[in-house]
Amino acid sequence: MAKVKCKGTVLQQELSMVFTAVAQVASLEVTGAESETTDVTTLDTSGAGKEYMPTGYSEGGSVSGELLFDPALAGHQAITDLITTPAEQNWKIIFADTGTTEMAFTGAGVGFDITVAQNDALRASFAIKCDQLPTYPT
Amino acid sequence: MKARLVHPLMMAPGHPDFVPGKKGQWLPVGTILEHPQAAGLVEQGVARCADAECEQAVRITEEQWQAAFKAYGPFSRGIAMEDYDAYHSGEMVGYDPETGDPIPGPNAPELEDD
Repeated sequence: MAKVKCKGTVLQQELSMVFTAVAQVASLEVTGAESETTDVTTLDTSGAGKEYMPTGYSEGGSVSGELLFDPALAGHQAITDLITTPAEQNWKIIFADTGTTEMAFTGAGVGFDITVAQNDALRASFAIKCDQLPTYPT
Repeated sequence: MKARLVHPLMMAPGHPDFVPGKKGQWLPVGTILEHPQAAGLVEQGVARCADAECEQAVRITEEQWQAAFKAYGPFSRGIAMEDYDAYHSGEMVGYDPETGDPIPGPNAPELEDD
């Protein structure tokens, strides 16, 4: 058991059969993953509690984050390339724990928003929709 | 087109030798990769062109490549930008996973005894 720092966490993107690190990532979020359930409450369900059961499917969610955007950087262009030329892509988060635990996932599509503000650095936020499920550490 | 790695990189599922679920599948410096987008590796500063087709496809200057090559080492290890100089000078090699403090490198200043 350990308290793991976020500093040193790396996002990697597959490019030409290898994983390369994405530069200047400021934050990452893995959200929206959940096992799907269905409401099986019936008129003769006893008590006030509603009943649910698993459907056998799960939502993989998405991986999103923010980076300090460098429009001339090939690594950042490799992300926006997925908007101009949509394709599935393999990604990986490498956590900064002692064992550098990895969480791999396949991105089915990306979103990319650029923010230009008078009093801030050039930033972009991105969201990668997971195809199937991320490979959670086990 | 072909490119030669100048940084060690991990194999991705698209590589023919990739084994699913196996950790630490590193390709060493000098590995030549043949792929239609190999020029992208050169533009990220992790490889050099290994054939004329790659040379023609690359869209950055030598100066830009040098900057990308120098930057890749620290950011691929999760080094914060404010610590790039300390990383390049060998004063640190990374962060302690539990404390977040810099891990001293070979050129780290020696601590004085009290």
